[in-house]
Amino acid sequence: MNERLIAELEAIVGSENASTRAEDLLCGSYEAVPLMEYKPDLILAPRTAEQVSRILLLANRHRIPVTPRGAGTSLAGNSLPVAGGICLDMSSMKAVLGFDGANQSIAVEPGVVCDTLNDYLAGRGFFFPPDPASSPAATIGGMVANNSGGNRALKYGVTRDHVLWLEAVLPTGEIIRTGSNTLKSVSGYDLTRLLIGSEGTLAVITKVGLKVMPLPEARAVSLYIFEGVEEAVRTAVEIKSSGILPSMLEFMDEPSTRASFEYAKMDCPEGCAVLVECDGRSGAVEREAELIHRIAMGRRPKFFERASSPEEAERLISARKAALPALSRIAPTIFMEDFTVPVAKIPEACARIASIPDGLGAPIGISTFGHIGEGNLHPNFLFDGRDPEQRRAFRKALDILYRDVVIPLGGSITGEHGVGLSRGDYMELEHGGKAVRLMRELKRVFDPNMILNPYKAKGGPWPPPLRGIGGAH
Amino acid sequence: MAPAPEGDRWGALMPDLANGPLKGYLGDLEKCVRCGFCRELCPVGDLYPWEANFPRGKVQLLKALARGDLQISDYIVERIYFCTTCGYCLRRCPSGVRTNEAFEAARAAFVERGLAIPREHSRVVESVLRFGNPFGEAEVARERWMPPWLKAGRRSEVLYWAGCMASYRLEETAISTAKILRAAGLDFTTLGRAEGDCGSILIRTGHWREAERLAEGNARKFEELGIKVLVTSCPGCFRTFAEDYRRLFGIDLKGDLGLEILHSSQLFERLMGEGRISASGSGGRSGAMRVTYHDPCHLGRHMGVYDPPRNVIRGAGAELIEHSKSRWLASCCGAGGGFRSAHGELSVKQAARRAAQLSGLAIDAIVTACPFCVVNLRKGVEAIGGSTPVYDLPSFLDRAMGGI
Repeated sequence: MNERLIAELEAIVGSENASTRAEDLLCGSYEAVPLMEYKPDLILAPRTAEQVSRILLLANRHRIPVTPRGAGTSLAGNSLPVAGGICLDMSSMKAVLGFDGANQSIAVEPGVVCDTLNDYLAGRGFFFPPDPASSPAATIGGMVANNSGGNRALKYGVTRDHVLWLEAVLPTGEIIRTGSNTLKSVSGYDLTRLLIGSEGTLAVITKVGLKVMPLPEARAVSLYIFEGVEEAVRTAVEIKSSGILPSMLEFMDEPSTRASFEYAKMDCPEGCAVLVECDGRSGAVEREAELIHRIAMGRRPKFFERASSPEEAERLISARKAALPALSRIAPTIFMEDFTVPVAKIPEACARIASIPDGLGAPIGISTFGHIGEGNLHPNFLFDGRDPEQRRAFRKALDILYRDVVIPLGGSITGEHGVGLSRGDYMELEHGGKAVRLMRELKRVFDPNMILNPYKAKGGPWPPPLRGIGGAH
Repeated sequence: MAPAPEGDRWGALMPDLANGPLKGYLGDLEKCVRCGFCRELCPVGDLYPWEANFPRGKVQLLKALARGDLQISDYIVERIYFCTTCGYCLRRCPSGVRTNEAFEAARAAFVERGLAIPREHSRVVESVLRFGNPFGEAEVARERWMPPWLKAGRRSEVLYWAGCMASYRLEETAISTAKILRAAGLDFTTLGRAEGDCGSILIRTGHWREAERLAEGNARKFEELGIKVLVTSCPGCFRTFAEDYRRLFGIDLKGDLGLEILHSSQLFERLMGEGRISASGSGGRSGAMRVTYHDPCHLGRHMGVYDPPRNVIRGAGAELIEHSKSRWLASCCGAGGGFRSAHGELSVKQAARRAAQLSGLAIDAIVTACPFCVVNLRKGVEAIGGSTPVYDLPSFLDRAMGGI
């Protein structure tokens, strides 16, 4: 990028919202994924859709890559500027634009943080159900772009199920509006659903219309700790088959349980945890919680705790949410994976995952937690990323996970984190060549010059210049 | 699996930084998994959402600096000083990174190397060293708040350390505290003009050598006086005496001098429990006052003192209304860590946000337990055009006891 172009781009947002300083470029080079860092050439923090449009017009004309970024909490390289160019930091666009209690909807800018939105809504008796572990930091724009799931997806669905409409800027600079502020609309192709989960490869989201729900009257949270994975998983499967639809049904293996509860400063015995939440009308919630308790006790847990206050419930849930970063107490590098399998296949998936480290030739540990109710597990590979041999072994472990476990069990290579950079290799394995080619053609329709978040998700061109994790490329 | 190595690897890359005050924190920086949880309630990040302003960004900058990936620059120094040291990130970090302690250590490393720290801090430090207070006020003016019945320097087992804020900027705090202690029949003394500075502002802004000299002087003073209990009005003084002297300089007032160090809220709670003070809570009006409590960062998150001030408020007959952002989740008032002196306008902007947050509750008053928070929150209330009164706990209790 030449200086004149940089000056032109900076002028769009104002110099205080733009930077080419080495320090800021370093701060735009990472996200929550380890080992992968790519520096942009310029960081711009726009305040309006018009500014985004002017930036994209210029970038498109000069073929400059643009990578949108929210809070940088993604876990697959989704927001990393692989090809340099512009890092479009959307976190300054964080206004709540309008809440409509009667229609149970809210319009927000993309930089609004998930927990901040829920604080705002709680004061009005409502909530926005998608609840990723990163909710303290994750922005709504990032959640929409990645179709975030989280802890409450079993009952409430994922981000996709709560988006009414979007305002977005195409890579060619046009501002479009998709969807409708009504609960039903079938007019035309569903562009809203196409943009949701497209990982910022098709358009830059500048406004979001969300569906919100009344806060449940009551909730009950309980924790059960079992000796082994098998009892924990079977308990979860049994709860799910009992006719109850818990709002949360979470699993943590022994290392994750230990690290999370150590962070939460809670004493509990070693073992595998199942965390269950029910919510709804107060009488019904109590009955459901009682039934769940009976099911869980039938499998003889080593320990259980039933939260007796909202604070205790929150403590249990935040311990689970902190599982990933808390694991950093165990190993220098934690690489979190994300797949789904049909729920009945979970015990088999867990057993197969446990055997992955055998024969890798390097000390790679695995700790798994996840949203067991949806068959969505997160095996975390624990190693020392500074050692090239361990990085190579990790790469091999990934291959085994997706090629030999997830796909043969009829699963998907990502349940909620996205393809990003790290899962591109496995796209054809899951979808087949024709479907993937169709996705790439779609990308070209939106982004003829392939400037927007290049090399990511379904968009290509492939292969991405993967580095850092000892990639195959 | 072995945790990330401390010191040695860094030492090879940048011995200068690795051997300085940051030494003990290099392993911490390596533990950061960049999850971003610390972004949530960071007051300065919220004021100016730019990655380098958030704790995660600061940690990456320090890491890059220590590894030699970045050269030190004024910009990095500015970013590290762009922090109120509220400690939210410290408590929030699931990876156990001692973020804001590392930032203070980095500031100390910058000061040691003579790097360009905020100009306003240099003035504050000069005032502390020349006049014994950060405001450049005359030493003699420190006694201005003292009622005639109170004689400084008398021998007593209990020393009330009023601190610079209460002595020079919020005299009502010191006056009410002395009145309450007297009403409780407690024998206590103060140091008057000889009190001086505790060193908190020096520690927060990285002037550790100067702070250490003050700490040595203060420890000597306490020893000579033969006191057994040290009571402070200011959570900054409290944390400095109870934790920082020991952690940073090895001066253990509790262990070596056998001092009991209390924040005034803890002493009030004890005196109430013993039935030595009682209050109606009406403060001259009918019905219980509805108040909310703002947790000062240095008292709550840093020292874990959450309940004593609340118990005092309830003991004073008031109805305590809690905000969801309270206790360890309490938003900072924006004053601490040298932020108010270096970024006056932004500091008041943060105070206005906190004031708006708390005023949203149906309350008659905001009570806190820190004179510095009181001063900033009052500015915040004014900035939003509000009228909610802000009291320091001693003044609130004094009112409830019928004193004001």
